[in-house]
Amino acid sequence: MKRRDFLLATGSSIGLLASGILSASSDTDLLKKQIPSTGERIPAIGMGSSITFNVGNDPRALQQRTEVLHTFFGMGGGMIDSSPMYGSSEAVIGHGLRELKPTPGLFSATKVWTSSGEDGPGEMEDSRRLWGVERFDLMQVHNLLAWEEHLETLFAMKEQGRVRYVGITTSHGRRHRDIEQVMRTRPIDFVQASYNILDREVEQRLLPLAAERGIAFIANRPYQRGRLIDHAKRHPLPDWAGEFDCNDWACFLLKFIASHPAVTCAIPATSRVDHMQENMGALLGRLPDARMRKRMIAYVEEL
Amino acid sequence: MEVWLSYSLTDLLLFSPDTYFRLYELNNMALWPLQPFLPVVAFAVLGLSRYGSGMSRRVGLLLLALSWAAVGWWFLYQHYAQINTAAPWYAAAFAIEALLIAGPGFGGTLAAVRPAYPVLPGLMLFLYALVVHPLIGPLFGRPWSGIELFGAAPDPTAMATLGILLMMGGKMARLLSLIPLAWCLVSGLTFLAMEITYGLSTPAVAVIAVIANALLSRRARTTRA
Repeated sequence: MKRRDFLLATGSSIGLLASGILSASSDTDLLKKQIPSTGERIPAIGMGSSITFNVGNDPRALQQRTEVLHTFFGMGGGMIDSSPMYGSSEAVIGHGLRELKPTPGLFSATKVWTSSGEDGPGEMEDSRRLWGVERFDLMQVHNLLAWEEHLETLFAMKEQGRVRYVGITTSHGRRHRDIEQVMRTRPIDFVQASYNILDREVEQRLLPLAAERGIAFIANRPYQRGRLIDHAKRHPLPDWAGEFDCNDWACFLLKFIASHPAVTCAIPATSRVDHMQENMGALLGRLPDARMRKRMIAYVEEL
Repeated sequence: MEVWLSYSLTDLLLFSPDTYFRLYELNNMALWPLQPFLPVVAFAVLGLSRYGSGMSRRVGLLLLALSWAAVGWWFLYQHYAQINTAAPWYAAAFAIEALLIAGPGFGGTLAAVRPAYPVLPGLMLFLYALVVHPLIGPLFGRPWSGIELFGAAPDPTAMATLGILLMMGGKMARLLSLIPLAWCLVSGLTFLAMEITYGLSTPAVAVIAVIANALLSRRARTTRA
């Protein structure tokens, strides 16, 4: 999506125009990253749905989450990530997608989360029905649960064209050695793990390995479940954030993640339209370089 | 089990406080206009089970059982289960408690014996559950439409039950206190995961109930000796 389309899609782009972010350049592509296994490019900022989309069938909350999705797609969003573990999140996403249909650009990603390999196909079919999609773009094994059996099923599904990409996930730094083993021995397309400006363990082994093996990397917990950004917002954004076209903390924290060469997509979760606008603002403008990334780390660690 | 043990308490919290508190609003909307009658039911349970004859005590306990069944079905199964995969298990525990209170075994035996413990400790827990607890949420900014009431919400129902059972005393009352105590613990852990400290008042009441029960039980044994 070009900058002009982006502006049209978001009307006045609410806070973004006022912020000056969009005035920096013209005809700039939204930040997209390549999926190494196919070369397909997807927006570098996606959307997580843990907690934020688990609202049951409350009509008021369903309407509000649909507005969040509307903003997400309107601002060029692609990847939505969920899991059967997240309560009603998949059903709520499905509700929003049906309300907003058509949703071009959607990159549907969910997980299989059951300790029984036999139950995997049934659970994945339930997820597909809840989302209302023909097939998932990406199906991941949630937190390596029964990963050997599920991967066997997923590779067969990929072969049959019932899923486009296969991945594995973890969070909170759990089981990185096991993840590494899967990355080394299985032809997976995606790996998902926690990565943010303070939790950088994946920089040591998983990110270099993802780059080496041609595996796309999804960064979850970009705000440490809100803790990091809530803390950061109590402090001033440094003036030099303007050097990479950021004037809010969401942009600052997300561009740190997206600027790592091996990261494909960061998936912040939010239940608010204004926060979604901030998140998607990180798809615009320049990215920090390696020197700037070090400066960003030093600044945030001092807060 | 190994899978669950790899998660921290916060990891297991899969809904936001706003969503959790909204459940109480939705539950109250679904139950309206029954709310004004719920305190009447609660005081009827108190009066009948503490001061009534054998048959009246039985009726009081049946009303209490009905309250547990209603909370299990309406709040836990119809509402909470939408956002928490563990909620159907909580609902099952509430159903079991209802059956035990209403049934001839536990409830019947309890109703057959004249309450032996002093009123005051149990009455204080009961009044806390009915009067003070519902005010805590709104005092901390939650909407009045989500007020937690006995017979509609699990915490006041569990705490009021602990009060009533404490007034009745005896082994059956102690056994019937296990599920209410367990719920108080679950509720406290939920609030702990949400990092909302006022929610720890519910497990604190449970701890007071356990201590009071132990002291009164000891005193009863000493008196008998």
